[in-house]
Amino acid sequence: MASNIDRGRYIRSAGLVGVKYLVLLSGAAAVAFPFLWMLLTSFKGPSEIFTYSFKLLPSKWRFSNYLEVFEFIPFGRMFLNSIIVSVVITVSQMFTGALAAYAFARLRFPGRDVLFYAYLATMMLPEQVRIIPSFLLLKWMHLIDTHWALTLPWLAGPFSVFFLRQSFLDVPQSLLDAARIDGAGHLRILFQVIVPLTRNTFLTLGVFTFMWSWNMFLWPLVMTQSLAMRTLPVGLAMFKSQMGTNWAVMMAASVLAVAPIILAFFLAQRRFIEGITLTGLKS
Amino acid sequence: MIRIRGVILTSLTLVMGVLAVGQTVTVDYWHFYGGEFGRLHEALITKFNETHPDIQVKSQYIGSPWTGRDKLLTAIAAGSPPDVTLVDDYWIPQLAATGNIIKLEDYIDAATRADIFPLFWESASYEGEIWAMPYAASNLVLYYNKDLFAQAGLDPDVPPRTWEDLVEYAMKLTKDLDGDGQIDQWGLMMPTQAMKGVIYYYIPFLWQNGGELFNEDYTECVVDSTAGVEALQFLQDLIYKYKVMPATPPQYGFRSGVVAMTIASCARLNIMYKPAVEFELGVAPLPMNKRRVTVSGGKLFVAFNEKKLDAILEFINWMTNKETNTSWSISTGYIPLRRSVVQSREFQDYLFENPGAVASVEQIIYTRPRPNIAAYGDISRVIGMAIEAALVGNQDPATVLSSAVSEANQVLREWEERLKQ
Amino acid sequence: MKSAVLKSLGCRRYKSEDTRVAYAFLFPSAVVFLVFTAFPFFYSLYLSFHKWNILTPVKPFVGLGNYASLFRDPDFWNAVKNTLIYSAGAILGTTLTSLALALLLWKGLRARNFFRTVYFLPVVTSLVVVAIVWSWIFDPQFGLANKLLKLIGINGPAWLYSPHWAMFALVFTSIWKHSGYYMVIFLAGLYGIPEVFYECAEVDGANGFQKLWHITLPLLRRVTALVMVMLTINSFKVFTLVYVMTGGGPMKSTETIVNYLYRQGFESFRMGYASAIAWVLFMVILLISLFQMRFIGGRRSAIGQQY
Repeated sequence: MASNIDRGRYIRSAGLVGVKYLVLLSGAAAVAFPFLWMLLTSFKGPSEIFTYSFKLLPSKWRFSNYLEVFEFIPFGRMFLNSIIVSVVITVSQMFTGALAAYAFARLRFPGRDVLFYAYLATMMLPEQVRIIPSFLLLKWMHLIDTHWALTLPWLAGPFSVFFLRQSFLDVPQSLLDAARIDGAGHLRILFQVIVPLTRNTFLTLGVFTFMWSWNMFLWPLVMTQSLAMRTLPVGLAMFKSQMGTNWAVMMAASVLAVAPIILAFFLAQRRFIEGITLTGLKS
Repeated sequence: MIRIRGVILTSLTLVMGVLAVGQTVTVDYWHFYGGEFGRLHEALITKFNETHPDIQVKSQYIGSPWTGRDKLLTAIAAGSPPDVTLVDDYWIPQLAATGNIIKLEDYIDAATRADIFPLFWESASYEGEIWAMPYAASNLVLYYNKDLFAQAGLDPDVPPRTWEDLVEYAMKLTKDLDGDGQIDQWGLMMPTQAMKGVIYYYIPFLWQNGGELFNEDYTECVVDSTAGVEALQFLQDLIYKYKVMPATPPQYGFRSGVVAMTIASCARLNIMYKPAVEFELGVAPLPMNKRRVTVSGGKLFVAFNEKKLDAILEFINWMTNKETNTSWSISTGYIPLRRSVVQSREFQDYLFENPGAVASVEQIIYTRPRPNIAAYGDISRVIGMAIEAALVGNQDPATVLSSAVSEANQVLREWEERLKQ
Repeated sequence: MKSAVLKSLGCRRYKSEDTRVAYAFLFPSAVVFLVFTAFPFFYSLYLSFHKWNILTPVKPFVGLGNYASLFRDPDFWNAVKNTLIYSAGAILGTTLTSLALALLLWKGLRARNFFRTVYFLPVVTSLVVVAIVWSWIFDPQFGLANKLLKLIGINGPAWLYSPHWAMFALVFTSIWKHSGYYMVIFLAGLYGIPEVFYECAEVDGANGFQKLWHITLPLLRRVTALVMVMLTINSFKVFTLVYVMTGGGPMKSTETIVNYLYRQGFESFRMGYASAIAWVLFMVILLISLFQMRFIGGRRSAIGQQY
């Protein structure tokens, strides 16, 4: 009798899993389609790109498009610039964000909430009205067209603080009290207790920060003058022209530009840990 | 002691003097040319730098006209514009009126002034004086698919010459190939949306019908005249009455062979259309009505830095001289700037081998630029919206144009106020 | 006695050590903020009280003139309406989609890392590519969308050319592009829920749906609040997607506040006016976010008290 019920349950849950896969696969197709199109187009010749007869695959695979990318712009240099800028910003924001988030989440001091909301509020003013005064400021500081212009203003940011604070709020006080009793100061509590517990949040923040700093376009365009300082999205724009874009080469460049982020994401996802072990609570 | 100081000072001065004489001037130059155009443009600049060791032009691609504009405006606002830049013709009045650029009127010699077609000087001028140096210009032509013409029983070497022809041809070329009630092949296409610049395509039809955008002294917008309304009505009829033009032009419709004719810039010929199409391409002047006229758009050099004016002038003169302009026009499809270029052996040979390029050159004598007033940018947006409402939204042309005119007149007043400051 | 009185007045005693540490920890962020963010922030406020055409340094003072014009400007209110419609659709649609994805890809499925990466692809694909491909898909005559609709007998609309459907197309594209991002945030939140809660529930005989409703969702409140606040801020500030796909058309039916602001500032050279619009938008987003944090995230989330 028990085995019949079990079998019934098994079939039902197997059916459920089947449905899940179906939904996910069709969703994945819809989601991956533009990306696939971009990838396939990067191997096409100029006359194949827009036909209404939906030829998805190229008739002849042109790998030379990828070589052209390197001929057209100093891709290597720009790639390096993008990496430097993104890594610096990401690491810095994770650090400054963690410190500030700790203060806002676990410490009590006068004006804490007002300060937090004021800081958060600065995210809400559109970039378009800040670009001219920011340029004025950086020009006054003689930082235009340097790596500093691309990194200094972003070494800390409200988003990281906001994001981490939400996570820090969820850490049980009991764990922190236990650490305090053991004689740990705030720094140690932050880095040895809280950070390991909120690992997933840090991983996520890392990927997100890396991604937006990598994709920044308007800021590097305005703040840099020389080709050698340019980052990748700005370099990519050089393939576009009002009267005839070499879409195939542009797609090749786009693929190259996007690859590091996808890689970073995939690696980060694999390190997501399941659940947190509350060894502290059990005692 | 004093003597030693004197020796040091003198030798320093001498050294500075020597250095000054052998100094290269660096000119910062910004432009909007990307893609293949960018490559050609940069190649020319490299050639200039090689042949002029005392002037080095540091060129920079600043993105599409959208994002590049942000960068340029930001730089101007902060007081650090580039030394020289290439801008679209409708920037000239605004930049000149606000005193940002240097007036070039006195620096252009008589020979150049005579050789470059008057059409181009019109866009370069503001209030009767020359402020910019023309570099590249294009006009609108009619591209058509010769294969589809032949299929429809039309002579591929006889393109439509009048509005009536246009309708007749388009009707023969619009077909429902698979009998499902939906049109699979269209006769004609052109942009219908404000954001795609539909006003640029409306203007030749307006002018051909005898209408104007403004009155003589640019104090009033008069596009809602009978001529203007008729022109817009004609375009609207192409879509809704004769049904030969889609209200929603398929993005690559002409290139992929689903639309038989299109009206577009002559500069698309060599780089955008020729390499991409698989059919035989025909190029013709625009069909005419009461008048024969087409519209032009252009890019011009403007100078910001007074101190480097000599170097800048040398640069822009070289970029627009007969030799450079000949090779630029041949490789891109832009209209030649100078009479001497059109008459040159090289260019004549090019025309002979590329009959498709003849149309744009043929039209030079009846090409007109857009009005050169500071308010044009804003007004073109207002009128563009009205045209979109008529073409996409099928609204009554008379109504939309008259409300556009009242808004446009308000804009004119506002700009008058602003320029007084 | 004194502390009781102070407490009843709402004063709290702050440990001076805590305060010192807090200021020390906030110092790096504060420096960056004061140097690079504060000036542009307040400068734009200053600009909003002046008229400025960018091309000349002249900036006549107009007091609240820009703000007064705003209220009488029908284009502004059109932009507000469009922004609200877009935001409502994007916030709701994206939250539900990303939450659903996160729940599906949380555990018990092989190849979930593969699926997660695939669903994240739209987030990293450049907006240029997105705009090209979707404009193509939404092409009224030859695009995939209408071809598919035709198969089930519907004559598809003119999508990006139709004042009624363009917004729908934009919202759809936005949900498609951003769900992967918020899915990842939800996943991080889901992984933070201790296993022990589910074990207890199973002992009590709870089924899948009950576990979802009574354990998972309530414990996700803080994350949901975070997601909705972020979505609100980003939806209200939407610019590039609209600019590239519709340019605010057709006939201003998709012109959002930031698009309008950009047009006024950089295309019509009314930077003072644009700054005023930006500040009104800012106020609105601030109010809505505060409300969301309070209401959705629960009291604790709003004022950040510890357990």
